[in-house]
Amino acid sequence: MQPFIAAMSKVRQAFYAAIVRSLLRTKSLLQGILKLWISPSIIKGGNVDGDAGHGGAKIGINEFLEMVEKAFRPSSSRKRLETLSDGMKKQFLESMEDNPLCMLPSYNHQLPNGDEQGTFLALDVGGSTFRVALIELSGRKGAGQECRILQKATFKINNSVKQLKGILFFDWMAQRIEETLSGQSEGRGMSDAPLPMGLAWSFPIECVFLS
Amino acid sequence: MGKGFLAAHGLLGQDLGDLIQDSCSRRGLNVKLNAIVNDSSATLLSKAYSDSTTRFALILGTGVNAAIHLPVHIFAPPKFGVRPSEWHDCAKHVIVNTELSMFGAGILPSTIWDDKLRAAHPAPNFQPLEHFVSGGYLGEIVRLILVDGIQTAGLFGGVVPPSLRERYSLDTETVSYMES
Repeated sequence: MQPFIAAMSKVRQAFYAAIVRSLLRTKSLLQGILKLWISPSIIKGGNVDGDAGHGGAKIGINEFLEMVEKAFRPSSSRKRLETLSDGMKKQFLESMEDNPLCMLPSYNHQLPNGDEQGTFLALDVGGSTFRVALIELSGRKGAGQECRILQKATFKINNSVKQLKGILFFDWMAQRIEETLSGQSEGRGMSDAPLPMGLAWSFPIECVFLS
Repeated sequence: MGKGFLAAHGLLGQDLGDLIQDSCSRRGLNVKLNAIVNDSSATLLSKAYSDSTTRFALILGTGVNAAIHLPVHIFAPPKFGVRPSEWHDCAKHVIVNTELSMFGAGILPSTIWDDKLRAAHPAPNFQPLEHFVSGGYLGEIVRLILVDGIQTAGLFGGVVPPSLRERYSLDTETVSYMES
């Protein structure tokens, strides 16, 4: 159980950090937008009476800003975060018992040992971007030089690409791969061993085996 | 497939690897698709390659997710479905796709703007955490706050610009440019 607890506490820290950061950002961003948009005379006026000059305004701008700040601030207090963390942990543990949608163990049980070497093509299909990179792995011993990107390209998956039906979408992917590899010898010569590819896919698929 | 894609059209039940491999072969590419992994697992694997102490990876993009390398024994056996006994013989740990976006229902602190976002969402309870923190929604939350500020506090002279009227018209990317 020990490594699990350690892993969970790491997850929790990252989770806190991400949430707090995003909440704080929202607040400072709003202040930034307000500074940009409110005329200086309004700022000088301090508490602006909503009815003066703004038809239909119910509260003052400073009052509104305070409300936004207040709405986000309690979320980052220690006690709130601990309650949040306990609740999340409970949900995580429940999902490890029986939940077909979350906490899904893959077929991968090993992390890389750092000795893997060679030239590979890395593909990444996300919600809005397709990334292709030809990479060379030279092993962890290369301290800082373990992975070299030989060629990379990023392609927007815009609406017209999303509308491609069936194999047309995969043909589009193959064209982009061909584009990225143009000028490279890898993945070309049919007499050579094929260039190994790995794909990161950010959509739910059912995995039935590990090859 | 979701996220507005139509690629699954007419292909349900087919092997994703075969589809990609076939498309590449038709273009005369001498490539071989060896592995398909979830993006959070890919992130975990790539960092673990350079740093042997890596145990979890967090995705903060259009969506939010995490992958963790966890001991097998902390899971209830049915979670593994039907697997060959050889897998269980050699697997002491396993890379887990947490689908973190789906957690947090009833726990996460919700503001009135979060409530508004969910009220207009087709699946308000499907991905609670995603709605609070992911790139797919942060822009919309900012837009809802701005519209509220315009209507209740007379921000921007009390007039909602046409570009802010449509739902999801403020991209998180735009918000991120303003912030930086």
